[in-house]
Amino acid sequence: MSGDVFTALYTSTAAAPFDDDALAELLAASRAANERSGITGMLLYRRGRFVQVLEGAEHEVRALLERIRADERHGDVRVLLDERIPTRQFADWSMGYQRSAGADEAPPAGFRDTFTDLDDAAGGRVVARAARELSMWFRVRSGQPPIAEDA
Amino acid sequence: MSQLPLPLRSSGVIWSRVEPGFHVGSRGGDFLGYVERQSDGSYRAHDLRSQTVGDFADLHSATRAVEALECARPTEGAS
Repeated sequence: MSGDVFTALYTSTAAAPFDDDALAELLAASRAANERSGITGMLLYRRGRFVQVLEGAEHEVRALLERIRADERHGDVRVLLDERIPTRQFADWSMGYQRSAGADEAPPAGFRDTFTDLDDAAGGRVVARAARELSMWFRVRSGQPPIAEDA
Repeated sequence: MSQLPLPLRSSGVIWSRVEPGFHVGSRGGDFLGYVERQSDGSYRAHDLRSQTVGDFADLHSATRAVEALECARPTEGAS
């Protein structure tokens, strides 16, 4: 599962709150479809908002993004990052999942807030860094090294 | 708790909080490591292989330990 990989990160707003059963159903369907199309990635659900990383063949990832845009469960779908990467970061997951605790308190002084940076209007490097921070966090929470080794 | 001699904070290092208790350091787009708050309130610094660098009483000391890893890293090409 290495080589020329296309990855996209998008955020969306859940049209209705997802409870544990609804999320389990979404993940089961997502994993089955992703296995068929060779897509891997991660899904984060936080305060009614999805953050998802998709990786695979470019045409498969773009096709999935179109299906997500058409999915009534997702609103305000925004692709924040799409690029080619040398190695999958989530090769072991047809769709890994984490629920973030979220944060009401401000980050410590001198620290940036990843989720605020993810919404950075200027995009570019700030959003890309925030996306990689989320990726790293997800891998650590899943018991993996923070960054996948190049194949 | 570790008592490593720590250099001054490296310039250009960006620290972000991903969620409460989880902090990631990077510089110029390259990750340096991360710091996790432990259940006892201490902070554990990790390198990019998730190896523990040390346990610290405060977040600032833990982040400086991660930054010190970068300072100690051999330059590219050196072996």
